Amino acid sequence: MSNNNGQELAGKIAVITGGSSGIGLATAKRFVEEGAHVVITGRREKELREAAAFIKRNVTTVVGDVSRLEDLDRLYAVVKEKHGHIDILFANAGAGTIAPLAVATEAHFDQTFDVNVKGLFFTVQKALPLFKDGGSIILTSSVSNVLGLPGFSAYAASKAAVRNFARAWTLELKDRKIRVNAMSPGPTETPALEKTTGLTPEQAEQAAAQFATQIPMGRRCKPEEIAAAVTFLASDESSFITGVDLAVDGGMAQV
Amino acid sequence: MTRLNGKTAVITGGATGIGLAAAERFIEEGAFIFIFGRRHEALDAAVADLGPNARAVKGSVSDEADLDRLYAAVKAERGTLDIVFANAGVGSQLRLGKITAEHIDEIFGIRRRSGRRLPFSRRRTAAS
Repeated sequence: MSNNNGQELAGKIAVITGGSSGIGLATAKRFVEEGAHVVITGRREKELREAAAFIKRNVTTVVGDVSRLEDLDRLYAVVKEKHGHIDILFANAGAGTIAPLAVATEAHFDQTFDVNVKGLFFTVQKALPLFKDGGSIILTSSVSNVLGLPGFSAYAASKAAVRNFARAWTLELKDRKIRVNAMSPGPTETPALEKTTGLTPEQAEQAAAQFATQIPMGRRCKPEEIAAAVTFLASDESSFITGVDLAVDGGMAQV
Repeated sequence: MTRLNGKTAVITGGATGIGLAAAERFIEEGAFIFIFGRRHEALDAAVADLGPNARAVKGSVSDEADLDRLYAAVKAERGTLDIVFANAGVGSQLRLGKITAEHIDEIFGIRRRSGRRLPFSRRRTAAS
């Protein structure tokens, strides 16, 4: 059970979607510190380059959008050529914009489900031929998957779907000894709140302050704390854990 | 190997099974531990195995005086406590028609007060 000289993921090949910022980037950096080689994907080329510089070594970048199946094919072609197999998949790419039910558009709905559910579904499917038996798959769900959040109904529903994927896939992949777990972050200090939800900077700041009052630990999560939980699920330290939803939420949805 | 460097931990039910495995791992990670359990021989054997960073205190988690003694020992030697692994437990199977009040009390750790009997505390339950 103990690790190899402080290197939990020595020699492992890990693919991380949504790997150029926030949770994905912090996890990629931690994986490399633990001895893994990572392939990270994201939609924005400039941010991917900056991410690679931040991670420093043992990193390959592939531009792509998980909601486009041809981009996924391209991602895995790169992985196959460079590494030949996958040990760990962190299906983390996701998006959430605010839209109350009464005014949400079809485009909002489609985008939410295309990335968070369809994109994640095919991210995992297309990885399977490269997967080694005995690997680990981690799916980023969200604390919202058990909560009612006004204005976030499509997002929360999409994340509930992700959590449930872990159940069926645990059974479908058990004969290959691949563990599948969901991981649900609570509010985390990443650019996503400011950049992708549609809030103004002032609103984002207010939202962040409000989170602190809703969370037992009184603060948002740091990306490194998410990375630590994902590393645990990716490593042999969690060897008898499969099908779970590991909440990393400062107690927010637990009490 | 150093996740718990310098930490002090209490493990109840720590002489065997899951508790003992946790004790071994905690020590590997640099902790100082107190194992707590009811059986002398098991405690002695465990401490012999675990080495110098382990202490044993004999007692039952359902006895407040025993627990006081445990935490007094921790305070005296270490002055501080970082981790409690509340692991001690009992379990046994009984079919619904055979469950007695005493069985419930044992599982839930309810100590009987002498002289007072509760309305449902009869040897035979109504359903069978």
